[in-house]
Amino acid sequence: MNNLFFYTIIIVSLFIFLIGVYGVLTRRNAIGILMSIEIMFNAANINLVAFNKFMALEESIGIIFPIFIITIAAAETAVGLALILSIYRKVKSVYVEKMDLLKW
Amino acid sequence: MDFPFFNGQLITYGFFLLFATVAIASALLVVSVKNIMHSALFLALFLLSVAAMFFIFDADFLGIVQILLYIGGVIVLILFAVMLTSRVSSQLIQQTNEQKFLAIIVCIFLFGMLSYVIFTSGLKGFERPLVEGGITRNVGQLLMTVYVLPFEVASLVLLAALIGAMVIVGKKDE
Repeated sequence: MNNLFFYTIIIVSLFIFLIGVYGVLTRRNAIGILMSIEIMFNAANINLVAFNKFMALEESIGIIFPIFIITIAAAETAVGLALILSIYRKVKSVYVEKMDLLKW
Repeated sequence: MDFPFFNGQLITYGFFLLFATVAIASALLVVSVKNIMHSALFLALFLLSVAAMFFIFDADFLGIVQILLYIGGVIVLILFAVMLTSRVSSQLIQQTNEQKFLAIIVCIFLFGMLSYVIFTSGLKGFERPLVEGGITRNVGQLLMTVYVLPFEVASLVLLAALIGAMVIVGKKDE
């Protein structure tokens, strides 16, 4: 029962992670790409918490590491959205194929 | 009385499957819905179901942090950004690029590869006993003793990101 539970959690989080990968690869909207990155972060967090519950690791390490991941994800979202807004002012678009100012 | 098919862990497993279904469905909607505003709201539903999964796995502190920080902070930020840029994101514009089928093939390939690795890893899951005095107390003590340096570095990163975001977005250009 424990083994079944454990492997179900890992497969579910793998599936969610791949949904995030698909979103990053196919979205044209830069904000949509940021949201897909959030999905991938959360898949990793589910995995870490499951490892904390079902495996013999250091005590509470699977709770502390996701706290840092959530912190970094919040910082990343703030900076990413600021960059998107700044690019939107220049290019008047949020679609990534329009963001080619560094192309020659 | 002993109910062999009605024990606590089976109920926990059932609830986990329920929230996993909600999470997968809403994640699929986030990456496939045309309106980016609806996409952000489905992201909120996804984050809520992930918080529910954290509560199921005895990580109650992490679930509360998830609700406060993600749904209270990140979703609000994303909604602000969507509304500030929504002039160009109308319903009629194609939201996905032309690499859709290639991306699906890549995802199926990655799924096969990683699930092969997972099922041949031989990991054994077993139920750990709950930490004495509650997991939140334990996490707080560890954050203030063993992991105090990463904790302070994380606060510095947050400060730098705050200042950086304000500098980037508040710049007067031309």
